Amino acid sequence: MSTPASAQPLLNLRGLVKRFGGLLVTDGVDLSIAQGEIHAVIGPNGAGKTTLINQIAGELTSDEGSMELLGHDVTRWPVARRAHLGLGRSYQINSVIGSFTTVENVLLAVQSGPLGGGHNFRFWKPATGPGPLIDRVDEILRMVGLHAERDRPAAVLSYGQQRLIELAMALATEPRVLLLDEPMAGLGPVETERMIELLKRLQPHYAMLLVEHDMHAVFTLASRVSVLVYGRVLICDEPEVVRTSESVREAYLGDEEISA
Amino acid sequence: MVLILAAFALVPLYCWWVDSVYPLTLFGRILVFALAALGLNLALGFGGMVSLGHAMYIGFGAYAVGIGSALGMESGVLQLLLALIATALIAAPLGWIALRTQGIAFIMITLAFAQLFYYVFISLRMFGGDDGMTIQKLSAWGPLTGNKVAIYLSLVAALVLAIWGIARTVQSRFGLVLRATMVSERRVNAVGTPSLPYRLVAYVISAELCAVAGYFLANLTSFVSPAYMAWTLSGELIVMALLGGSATVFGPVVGAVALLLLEEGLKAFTERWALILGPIIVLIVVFLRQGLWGLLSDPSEKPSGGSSGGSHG
Repeated sequence: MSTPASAQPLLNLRGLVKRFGGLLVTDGVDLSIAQGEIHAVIGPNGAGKTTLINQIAGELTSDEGSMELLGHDVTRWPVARRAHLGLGRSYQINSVIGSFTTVENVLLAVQSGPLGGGHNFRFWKPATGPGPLIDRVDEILRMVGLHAERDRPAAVLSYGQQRLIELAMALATEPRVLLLDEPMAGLGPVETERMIELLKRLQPHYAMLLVEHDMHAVFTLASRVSVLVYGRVLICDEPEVVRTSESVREAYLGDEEISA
Repeated sequence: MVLILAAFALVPLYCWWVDSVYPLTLFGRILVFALAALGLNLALGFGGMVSLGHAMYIGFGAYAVGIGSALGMESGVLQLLLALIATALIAAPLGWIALRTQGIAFIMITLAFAQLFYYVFISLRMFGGDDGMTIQKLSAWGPLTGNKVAIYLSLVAALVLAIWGIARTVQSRFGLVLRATMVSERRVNAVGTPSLPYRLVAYVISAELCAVAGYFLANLTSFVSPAYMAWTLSGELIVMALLGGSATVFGPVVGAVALLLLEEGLKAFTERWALILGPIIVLIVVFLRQGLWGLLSDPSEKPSGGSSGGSHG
């Protein structure tokens, strides 16, 4: 699938660089994603995929380059402010709050979003009481298929279900751009298919950056694929081109198979 | 929980019955520390901020009465306001600095500031310095001025209000953010809520409750001294919270009652009471992860950190 050239990119990276000491981890990455696009970033372990996501999210400050989100230059913005503008992310390692119920986890994200009215300095009413916030939480839980588990602590849910909470939290801040760091990691084949279906359904509404090792998922979902090797984008093209590219095969596919 | 609080409210009646004020002093002291531990626990148990300096705020509350009275400002309302404002003015910047750090560094910074003010008050010769000072005129509250029973009963009321307020707060939207920062500040930031302001507000509220406790302590004992601000007292507040169960709202109150009654009981029994008290605390904290109140109110196992936030037993 290709996007019309006129579509305004929601996320735009220009020459992003990150160094850890003498090590160049992100080496001049350019990338832009429009609404309805799933841009997959693949690459061998240590290629700098998670570093790139952390730079985009704002957890790491970039040494060079700039980043535009929904038309704003957010290069120097802190994490919370970028998230507030419309950047949602899911973590590679589950970071749901185990002692919170499913509802409380997603509510934490919903109340930080546009429905929350800008701040959470509300001290009196129970957070999980009826109202527009909790309605939205239930809506999101139905969307990701977690509604049956709404009142159970996240810690007792299966790994796959926790991944879904993770995704629900990313959606709950009503972002326009989604950063998904290996959403399929640790999922079984059935769960993976379900996650692929879900992401497909969500695709038209977001600009998504997908970091993923599951090549089946990548080539099913991606509208564009960037191959990251040693922090540098080796190739950025449509999935078919990337899959058949000779240089990708040399740099990357030596140790991992693309069999999708 | 209602039973424990009701028992406190009945102490004045008991005093009248046995014609002695000693129980009133003893239980008043317990209530003061229950209130302070309750306050500390908002930061400690729900925000993961291990402050080793909260006794300083008890001192501020007490000195607001002592210094106010010595300078002729006897109005109880004004003294209380002075305590609250002074505490906010100190706690806000101190918390702002301390919250940029984590773990041991946070503990050390809160301790360092508390020690700083401890020595400041020791050096205030005109207000008793090291020896402290006797308060000649207690906070003026019209006809109730200096009435120990009235002071005691308002302390009970303050404690009940504080318990109610904190129980609401930890379940509110603010509380949800606060409890989440305890587990993962990163997570909270990633959903678009900057964690620092929420932690800071919780820290300041927690300091204010300690200041109110200090205000009552000065009125109960008619005395203030830098000893109220000693770091060992800050440590005792932490022990109370852990002993009673820091994941619950009411736990610190139970912890304060248990610790001080145990101390009192052992003192009557032997001079080497601390030798017995220490191991008991260690055993309780090690074997009852949820603390005394956690055990009483919720015997079923449950991941700690408390999604329930508190027990409204």
